[in-house]
Amino acid sequence: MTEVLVEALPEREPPVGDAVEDIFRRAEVVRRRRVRALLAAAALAVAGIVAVGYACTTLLLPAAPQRAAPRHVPAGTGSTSVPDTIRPVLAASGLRVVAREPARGDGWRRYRVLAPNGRSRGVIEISAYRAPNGLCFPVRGHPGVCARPDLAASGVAYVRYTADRDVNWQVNQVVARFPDGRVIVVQATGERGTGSAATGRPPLSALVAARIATDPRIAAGFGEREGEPEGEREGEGAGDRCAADCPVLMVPVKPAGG
Amino acid sequence: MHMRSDDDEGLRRFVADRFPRLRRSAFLMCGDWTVADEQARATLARLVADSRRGVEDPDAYAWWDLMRAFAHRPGRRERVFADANGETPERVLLLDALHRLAPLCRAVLVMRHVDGFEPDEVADVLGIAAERVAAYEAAGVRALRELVTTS
Repeated sequence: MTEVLVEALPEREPPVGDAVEDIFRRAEVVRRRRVRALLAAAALAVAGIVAVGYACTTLLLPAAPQRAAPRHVPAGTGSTSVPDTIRPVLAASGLRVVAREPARGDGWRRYRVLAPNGRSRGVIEISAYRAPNGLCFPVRGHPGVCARPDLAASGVAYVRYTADRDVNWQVNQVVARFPDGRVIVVQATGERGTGSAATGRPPLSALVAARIATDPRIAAGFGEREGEPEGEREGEGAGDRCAADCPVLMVPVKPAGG
Repeated sequence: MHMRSDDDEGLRRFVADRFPRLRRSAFLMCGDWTVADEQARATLARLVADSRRGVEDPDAYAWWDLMRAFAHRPGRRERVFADANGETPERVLLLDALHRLAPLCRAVLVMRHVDGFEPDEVADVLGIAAERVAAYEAAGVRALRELVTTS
């Protein structure tokens, strides 16, 4: 059978030519291809490990804890459910304002004012209180003395306060009391620690702060029950000390009979 | 025979010696000189590339690689007749009879009766039991004789 099979081979075979050189050239190509395949597999493995790591961290680890909601919000006031109608009023005054965290709570809102170049010009804090039995507009440093308020056209009584001796802590504050007993306090604090009177100037002048504080839209921007006295406030001035993140006023207000 | 790529001269001698033999075996497996030439070159190129890591038995490697390429490829009888120009009718009919066999049976016959491998070597290269090599060989020889005599 061996002879038979060998006979199956043609008598004339194609010439070998440069087969040996070609084989060695192909071998080099094979080697390079294997190296590339190895590198690609390594890159794929690294990418796979990164993808698995990313998936594990995003799917298995708990999400970053959200900042706790202001503890000062009493049940039923629904302060966070009240749409922010104050910010548009401030924006209408030509201010570029953004929320500043903590941005809102029961009876108060906080905004950052930005310059056209995006730099912070300071903070505006607006808070609401109830003084149905009247309000002694405080005189800073003189407890028991009441300031004589100005009267806006809408019948709102207000007092302006300015502190600009310290260039690193300049504040304009306005306390306004509406005829229905609602008190609105606008406090504008310039950038602190700038070392410059101009740079640390409050974002609102006392005049503009007064116009905002006496604007009925600002008062309407708070919920009906926001700013009502709470047990923890009894016996002390509103804005004097806060259990949460509410504004600490330069001049605390003390509703009469509150 | 152990082979490493640092023995470049020995590797070249091996390739130069085995290439015609491998190409003949490939031709008997496929009946096409062009395919046989290409397959023999590809097989020896892989052998040379792998010799960097050391190849224990280069002959076993080469025929294993070659026969693996034809393991599932049926014989191309139409190619046998198309390339019959200048060949004797007996040789054409013999080649055609060979290509009527199953690929594994054909591989056993080629390795045993053309390349001169022992049955256990054929079993190792093709990855089958030695008993099956003997069975394939007996069946292949019988079928080939019948085909040749009835052609």
